[in-house]
Amino acid sequence: MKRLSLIFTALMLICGSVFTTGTKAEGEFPVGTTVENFKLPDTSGSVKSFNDLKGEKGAVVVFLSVQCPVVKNYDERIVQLAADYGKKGINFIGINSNSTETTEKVKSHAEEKYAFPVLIDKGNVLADQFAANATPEVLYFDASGKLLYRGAIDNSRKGDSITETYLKDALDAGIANKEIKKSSTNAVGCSIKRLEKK
Amino acid sequence: MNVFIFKAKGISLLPFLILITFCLFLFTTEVSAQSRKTKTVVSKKKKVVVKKAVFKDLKNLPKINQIDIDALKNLIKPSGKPILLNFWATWCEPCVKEFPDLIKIDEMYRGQIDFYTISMDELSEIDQDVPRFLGKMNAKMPSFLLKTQDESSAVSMVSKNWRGSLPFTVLFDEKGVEYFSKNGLVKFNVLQNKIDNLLRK
Repeated sequence: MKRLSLIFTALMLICGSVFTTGTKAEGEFPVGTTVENFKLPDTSGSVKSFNDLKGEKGAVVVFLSVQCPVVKNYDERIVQLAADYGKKGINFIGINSNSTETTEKVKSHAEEKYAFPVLIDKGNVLADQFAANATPEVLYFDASGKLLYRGAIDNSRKGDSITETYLKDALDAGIANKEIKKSSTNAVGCSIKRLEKK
Repeated sequence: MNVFIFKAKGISLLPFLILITFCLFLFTTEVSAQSRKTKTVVSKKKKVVVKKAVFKDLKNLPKINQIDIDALKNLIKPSGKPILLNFWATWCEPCVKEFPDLIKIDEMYRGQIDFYTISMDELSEIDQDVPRFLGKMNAKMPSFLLKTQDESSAVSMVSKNWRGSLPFTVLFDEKGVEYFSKNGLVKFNVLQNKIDNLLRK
């Protein structure tokens, strides 16, 4: 009887682990997860890796879009944060995962707007890996590649009624090695236009 | 003296008169085409129709009610019928694209399910682009605009499968349990099948 219950427990454990793996494979990337060094081409076709681009204190990956009005509203704030925190050792890395936006458009838009590199995520592989659905959504990694914050930049899409500066607060706490009070939020924005699965 | 061929400072005015007449003709044609287009809810040029809607008069447009998180919570309380919610915005291209299908869904299942659309537009649009668009679409379902300082919490409250991207469509069963949800554009047949399956349960 004891042996039977042992076998039963072992079976339950195996089933449990299979179920957990299955859930994770569907695309969850919670805070605390460590990123593997990914490589993607920039707008000139030159392949860049996360480790090459991150700063000495970490990096902010920001999912962007050329057409999304919410991104347009946030552009000025993104540029400002990238400039402010670039000086503090945190580099911004833009990602465009929209299958509907051509490399030419992404390139001219990036050259016009951003001083940081924008990588092309063809086939939305990175968006899938990071379970990113909206633009603009940000993921803040520390120098070791551990995800410390993901979600919205702040709580005002138009920028006229900001009362919570989620990303800035996370960056300041991360740099100071303090606890990040709000480590995950939802980013309301445009959906990433994924390639249709056949 | 013929008035159409008199010359001012040595320049003939006839070509200018022809040009002005031609421009007036073009303008009149465009205006009459516009009034025809605004009567067509679903046409091949949906985008054009939506943009032209801006010129439509503001009378008889649907009333959009502003809601906060608490009101949203009440809205999705089980009512004995399945509840279908669509979160959208006038600036969201796929939202606008899928809307004619949602109108069809509303017509097909009115009375069998509770269907609400919730706009995530800025509050300033509550009596502007939001009712204009819904009026243009001839939308009959109750429509709301969510205004909160904490959209993130509102998103979490609605569904564990939603992280804020628009459009988002979610179907709850009569007990309030999520039965189906879709991030991004929802296909008519998929939504129809899900509702049918739920109603057959």
